[in-house]
Amino acid sequence: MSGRPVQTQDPGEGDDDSLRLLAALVCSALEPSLTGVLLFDCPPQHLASVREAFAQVLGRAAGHPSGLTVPQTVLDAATVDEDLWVRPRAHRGPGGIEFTFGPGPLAGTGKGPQVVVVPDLARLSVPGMRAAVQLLGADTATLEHSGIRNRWRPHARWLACCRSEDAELIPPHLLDRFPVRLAVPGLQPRPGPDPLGSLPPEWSAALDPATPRTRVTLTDSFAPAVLQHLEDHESDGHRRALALARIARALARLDGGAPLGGPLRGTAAHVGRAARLIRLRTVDRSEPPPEGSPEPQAGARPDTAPDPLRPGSVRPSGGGTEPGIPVHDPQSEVPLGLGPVTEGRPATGNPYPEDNVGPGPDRAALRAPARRTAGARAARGPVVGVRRARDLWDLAPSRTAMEAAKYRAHRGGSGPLQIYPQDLRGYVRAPEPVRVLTLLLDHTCRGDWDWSATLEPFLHWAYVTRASVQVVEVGGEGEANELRAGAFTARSTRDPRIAAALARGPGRATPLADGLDRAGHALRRAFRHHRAGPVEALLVVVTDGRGNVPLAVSRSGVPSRGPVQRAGVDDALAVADRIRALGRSRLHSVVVDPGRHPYTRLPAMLAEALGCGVVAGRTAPAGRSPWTASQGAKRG
Amino acid sequence: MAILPYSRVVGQDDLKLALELNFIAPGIGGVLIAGQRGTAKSTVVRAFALMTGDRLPVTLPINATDDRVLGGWQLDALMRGDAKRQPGLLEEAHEKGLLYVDEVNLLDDHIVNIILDVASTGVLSVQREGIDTRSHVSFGLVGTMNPEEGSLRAQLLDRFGLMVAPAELGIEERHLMITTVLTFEEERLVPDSDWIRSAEEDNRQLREELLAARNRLPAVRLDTDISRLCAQAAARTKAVGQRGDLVMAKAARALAAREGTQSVEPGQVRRVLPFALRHRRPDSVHGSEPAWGPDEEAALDELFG
Repeated sequence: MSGRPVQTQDPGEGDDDSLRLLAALVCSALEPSLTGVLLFDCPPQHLASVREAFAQVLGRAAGHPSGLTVPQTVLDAATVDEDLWVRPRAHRGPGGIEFTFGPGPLAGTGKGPQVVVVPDLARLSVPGMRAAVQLLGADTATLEHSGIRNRWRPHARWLACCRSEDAELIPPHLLDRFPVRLAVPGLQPRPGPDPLGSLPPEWSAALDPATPRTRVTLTDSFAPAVLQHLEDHESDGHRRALALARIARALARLDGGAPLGGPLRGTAAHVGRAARLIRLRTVDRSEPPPEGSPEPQAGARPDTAPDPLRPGSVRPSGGGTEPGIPVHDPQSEVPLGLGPVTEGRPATGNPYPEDNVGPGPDRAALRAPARRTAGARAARGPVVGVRRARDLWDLAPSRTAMEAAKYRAHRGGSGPLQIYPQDLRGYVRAPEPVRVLTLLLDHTCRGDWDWSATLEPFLHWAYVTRASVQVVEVGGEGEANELRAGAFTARSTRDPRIAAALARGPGRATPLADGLDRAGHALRRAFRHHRAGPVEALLVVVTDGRGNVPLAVSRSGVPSRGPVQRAGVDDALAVADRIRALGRSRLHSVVVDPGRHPYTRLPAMLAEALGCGVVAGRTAPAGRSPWTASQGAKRG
Repeated sequence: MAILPYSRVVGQDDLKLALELNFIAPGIGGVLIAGQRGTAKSTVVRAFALMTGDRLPVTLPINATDDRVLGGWQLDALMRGDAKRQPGLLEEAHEKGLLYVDEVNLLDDHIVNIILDVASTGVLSVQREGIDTRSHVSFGLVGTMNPEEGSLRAQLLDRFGLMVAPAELGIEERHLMITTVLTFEEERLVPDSDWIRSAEEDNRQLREELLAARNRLPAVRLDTDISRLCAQAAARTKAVGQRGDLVMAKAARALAAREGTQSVEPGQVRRVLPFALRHRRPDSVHGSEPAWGPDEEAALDELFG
């Protein structure tokens, strides 16, 4: 990268996202614990430029000559464990072609840093997500895989992208691992070698490993400022606070200006700039943030620098402090984000979009989806044995080498181990299940109706086909939050929780839209994570359609102040429409109508939105096949 | 080492106490730490292992394959034509006394089955890939998990002697946590850092205290009225099985040894009781998230007066 100073760039230009992103990447390179950078709404066509820029920044931090990057690994929806942790290597030896197995690309054997690129985090495979959870921000990592073991401190930096609206599809457990998060919808990389802009000399110097590392001490106002900025973004743990603090410290390091031989000072002002860098929106409550740091040391940047978070101290660049318009701190080399928002104003570019979608519908998303099957249809389940290989897919290296070793003496004794085709052994894997029953139970529609006879054919189908069962409960008695649906996944119909759910009494509210949303997420996840996809998924919705909780209310968990009117019903129909879009030929849906007068039209409307038929709940004969019942009642 | 010294971990008194009791009385059988993300669960476990044993615990990662769990052949040696045994993690845990599983609820079922089989029988029997061995193994399980990602099977849950949940930090503790973590990250890069030296000295003192408590443990009495109290507490909280009663008594003895009393006192039973019983209640056994709330506390307050 060239040393062109950043001041030559106008922060009001459309490429401001580029400058913010460059600053964030440099912060990640400077701080060993800022290992994950998550970009929301990054235009996909620019990902190559971003990853190249990140690799160059990391190359600079590793002491590589200018322009030399670090290795990159790409993870996607097809990534499996064997791709990540084990790497077969073939090479020419004295006795011909030899091959060995060694640690894979994520196994921490590289001497320098690397970039792990995830083009779409929402569509990353389960093994990829599990690897991210293991490595991102970890103090230490362990590999125990296929005869290979390693323990290391992860240095790899992860660069992931996803759309803001897809954040709800990602397990919060995984999202939380990304300390640096930026929304860059307007990213416009420049042509040439420095797509995000050139590194200022001070930043280059800070990244250079030959530069003596200066300590950063924290003023008394530093930690309170971190927590104050996160007041509106409370999370269960401390990762957000530590991430903001570390970004602030990196900015302090980039500012430099330490007195001779003395430490740099991390101040509340640095925290404010870090918050704006990631566009952390705080609601302006007209209360000035607490200050009270001790007198700054000679030569250090004063802690009482104008805090650009305060309305009066923000310097507009290019016409004001409206959201979406960047502001710039003249003392900072780092391009800043946006000014504060006032209460009620919609926030854009929120680094924590998952906060706005309520509790994740997808518990246990980091586990392989539960499923069972009667046949050996799929080949990627857990290893349950070894057999002679039928092809070169999924070989068992240890057993293969052992087979070859047995005949070594017979085949010529010394020299490298020779593996013959007949030595090849492959894993026998437990078959992956391929059927899913998703059962949505609206407890508030049941009344005195014993629905077990009506549901028995569906459960019987699940039992016979060994389907896993996803149960979504709407309006159940004793729900932790009556505005939300509950859900659980059972590996089979024998799970005692299913019987308990069928017997549960009614609660007061009917969050039908939330229940359908959860069911939709479960189905979407099942379709996505099965390598070949489930053969059949059956969605059974037992409801009278009278949802009285809007989806937004379910997500916020706070009761609506005004009248709900039809919002609960309309939201349910909209969600049902989205489920129908999943359909293809693998999803079969049916609505079971409890026949509660005078609302008989609502189940039919829901069925129409789902693109399926209606079964009359109270009159359906027990033992009748659900398929027959469904087809028989199909509309139009 | 990149892990915050144990003596500098802010708050989390329950987590620390459970690990310390398990160290004093390994017969407790391990600790499960279940809590929300980002609450220093793994850091506390690793920091504790470093403090007490100067090494990281034997760790079973979620991507472990069965050959590494049970033991197999050294792959490199095998490729060279040599057959060298590679002990599995369960054997290593037997030697070092502890097996740590991070994200234990994400373990694949077949690995869970292996662990359960070995933990319940105490026998590691390997008959695969030309290996035929049988050995007795014993180890404590320490696991960390985020309940957002699903619960544990009841059988595995029961294998953990104690279960604790990280506590939320108060505002002052959060300030201190941020400052401490960032200070540690700076100081660990400084040669001969006074801050690190002071933390290690505190670690050393704490380790000596724990070793002294371990030595005192055999002399700590568990009187009949206390063992009866343990049984009554288990009955009041509807704990499933008898392992909870036993673990509670062991943990109370360890706490008595830690606090230097000659015999177990009711207050010590009361302190460790939730650790031993919260995951053995009927709801937990049927897959719900282990909960311990005001109802349980009220029932026990009545018993303990």
